[in-house]
Amino acid sequence: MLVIKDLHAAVNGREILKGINLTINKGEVHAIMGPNGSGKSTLASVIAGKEDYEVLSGEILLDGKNLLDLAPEDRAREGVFLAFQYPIEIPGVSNTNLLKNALNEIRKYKGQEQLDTMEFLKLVKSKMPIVEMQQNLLSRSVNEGFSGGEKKRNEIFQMAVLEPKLAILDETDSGLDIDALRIVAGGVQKLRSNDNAFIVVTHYQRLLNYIVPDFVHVLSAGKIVKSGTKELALELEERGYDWIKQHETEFVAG
Amino acid sequence: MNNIDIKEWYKSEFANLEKNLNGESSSEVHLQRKYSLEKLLALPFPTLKDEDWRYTDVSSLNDKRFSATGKAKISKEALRKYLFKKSEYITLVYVNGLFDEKNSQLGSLPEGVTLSHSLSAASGKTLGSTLDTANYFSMLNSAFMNQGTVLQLKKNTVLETPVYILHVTTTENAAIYPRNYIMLEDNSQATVIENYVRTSDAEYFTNSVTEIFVGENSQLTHVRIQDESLNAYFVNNTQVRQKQNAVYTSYNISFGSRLSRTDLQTHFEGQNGESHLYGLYIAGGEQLVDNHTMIDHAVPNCQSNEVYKGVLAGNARGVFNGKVLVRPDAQKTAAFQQNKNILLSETALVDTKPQLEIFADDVKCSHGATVGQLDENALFYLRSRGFGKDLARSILIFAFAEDVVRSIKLAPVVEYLEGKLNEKLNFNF
Ligand SMILES: Nc1ncnc2c1ncn2[C@@H]1O[C@H](COP(=O)(O)OP(=O)(O)OP(=O)(O)O)[C@@H](O)[C@H]1O
Ligand SMILES: [Mg+2]
Repeated sequence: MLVIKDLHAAVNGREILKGINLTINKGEVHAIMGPNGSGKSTLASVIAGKEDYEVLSGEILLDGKNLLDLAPEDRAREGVFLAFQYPIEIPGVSNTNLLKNALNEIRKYKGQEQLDTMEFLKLVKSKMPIVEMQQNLLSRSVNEGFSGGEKKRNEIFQMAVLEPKLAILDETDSGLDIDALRIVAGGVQKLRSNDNAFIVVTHYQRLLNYIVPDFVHVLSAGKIVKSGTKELALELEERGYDWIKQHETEFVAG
Repeated sequence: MNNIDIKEWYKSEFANLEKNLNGESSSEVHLQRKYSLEKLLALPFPTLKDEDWRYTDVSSLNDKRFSATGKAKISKEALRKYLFKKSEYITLVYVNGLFDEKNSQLGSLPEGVTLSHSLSAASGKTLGSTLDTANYFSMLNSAFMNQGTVLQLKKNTVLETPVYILHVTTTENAAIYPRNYIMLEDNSQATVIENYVRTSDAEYFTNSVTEIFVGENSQLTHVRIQDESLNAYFVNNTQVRQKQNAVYTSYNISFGSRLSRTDLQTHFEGQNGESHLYGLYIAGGEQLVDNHTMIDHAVPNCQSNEVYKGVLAGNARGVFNGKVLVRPDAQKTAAFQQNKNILLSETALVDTKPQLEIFADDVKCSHGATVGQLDENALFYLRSRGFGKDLARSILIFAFAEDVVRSIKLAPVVEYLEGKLNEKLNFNF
């Protein structure tokens, strides 16, 4: 579904992604871990189309279509969804309203009929249990005054409604309390299907107990330095990133 | 037309006005007109050299010859879009500055409330008492004030129903000089909404003055919406006097006009008063919007809180000059001021000048001004949800402005303004 080939990207003239290769098939969940500043959020933003980042070379294909040719909104309409590490507050615009219009923008692009308010509310009702979304968060302004955890939950709720092909969750677990983590991760688990795929960026193995990944990658200084299965995350939890860095130097030295 | 000297023009306009006054020519109000005309004729026209007019070039007002046009008709149908939905506000409609009785809705007023479109209803010698006789546009208004709104509340009177003053200007080249006079005696409360609208994109001139007296323990909520023609000129001077424990809350919303200039001054005359001034200006194209505010902390223990926000697009220019004067006696003053601007184009411009003059030592004062662009991260967030670039920008501008709009505690007015915003920003959620 998603193929990233030798992706190099820079911000303000500084190269941050230094040759990323990644292939994700339908139905898969890939976890990306790695030290602070290694480029995880940058990768997520480049896939979603943030214009601050300059793509120096490489390709990102979604079902064969080159995402790099598309504006961020068109990538969203093609089925890319980014759950933000730091969701934005939009005072004065209700959560429900924003989501309804977002969904209709996507439907318009796909040539589907617009949902009217009644139909939309019905859809919302059906999705609320997935992340135990509270009604009051829906009628409030987008993320305004939401707690850190509520914002993250809201991101996953948006995802549930928009039903993307490829969802990228950037540290969705940070800021969630133990119960919320279980609920939100459980929601992601429910949304997994044979037709979609997930990239889950996290620092903690704990999340991966709920969202069990098919693959785990370690990003370090802009490169994927190690890939493995879910056991890799356990090993990282135990031994830290130094272990990999050592590994790497040994490898280079050997 | 401008081969006639402007002062000669005023004289001939004044003669016309007098002709139509039939019998009122010896009244108090008319004496004041005459006095003001005399002052006006002696005043130089403001130019960029005047400190108060440094950023705002009003020379086109000196070149043009606007005329007090007189009566025009407007249908109920055409008025509807300027009325608030789901509300039963007391409504005074003025067309080209003249009271339109048919379209107004005064209903029954509670005991202790006087409401009139005739300036002679203003009590005693207070009409005009707040004005600076050296202020050109205040004197212009005083010389030509014809009708306006006089609202007076006797002691211990609460007027629950908001008073809506709607000025519609329909005629090319019209000059209108509305005068509003609001007097709240002690322990009283009222809400007044002024709205200045147009029915076409005519070029005309609105020069209004609003005088406000808030008595002890009294509260006034005052909304002004300025949504004039984009070819129109608008100059307003608002003077507020606050007695002990008086609370004055102002919402000053500007959308329209080619050139608009508002001077809003509040003076604390008694302790423990509060002034809350909120402003929002949205301008594009060739518009210029200038807000001068001044809060006079003349006595101790008063609070002022001011938030003005602006959005400027195209070649629009904004001016914010916020003066806070804390006089030597005014200990324990708390004054907070903020001006935030968003520029949407390379050619939009704002001059923002907070001006704190503090002569007392035991005070809490802060001010801040920002000029920036829309937040790129927020734009990206919205685009990543499927919204196109333009729509994403509109949503963020709406959110920026909505913050001021929502602070108005009158649901029908909020709904009206949100509708205006949506119309301006070209989206509908
Ligand atoms: N807009 C920017 N301007 C300058 N530097 C940037 C910008 N965005 C990212 N960077 C830098 O790029 C590097 C990678 O940042 P990124 O946010 O992708 O890291 P991360 O792996 O997500 O880290 P964390 O685990 O802390 O979230 C960092 O050194 C960061 O400072
Ligand atoms: Mg990050």
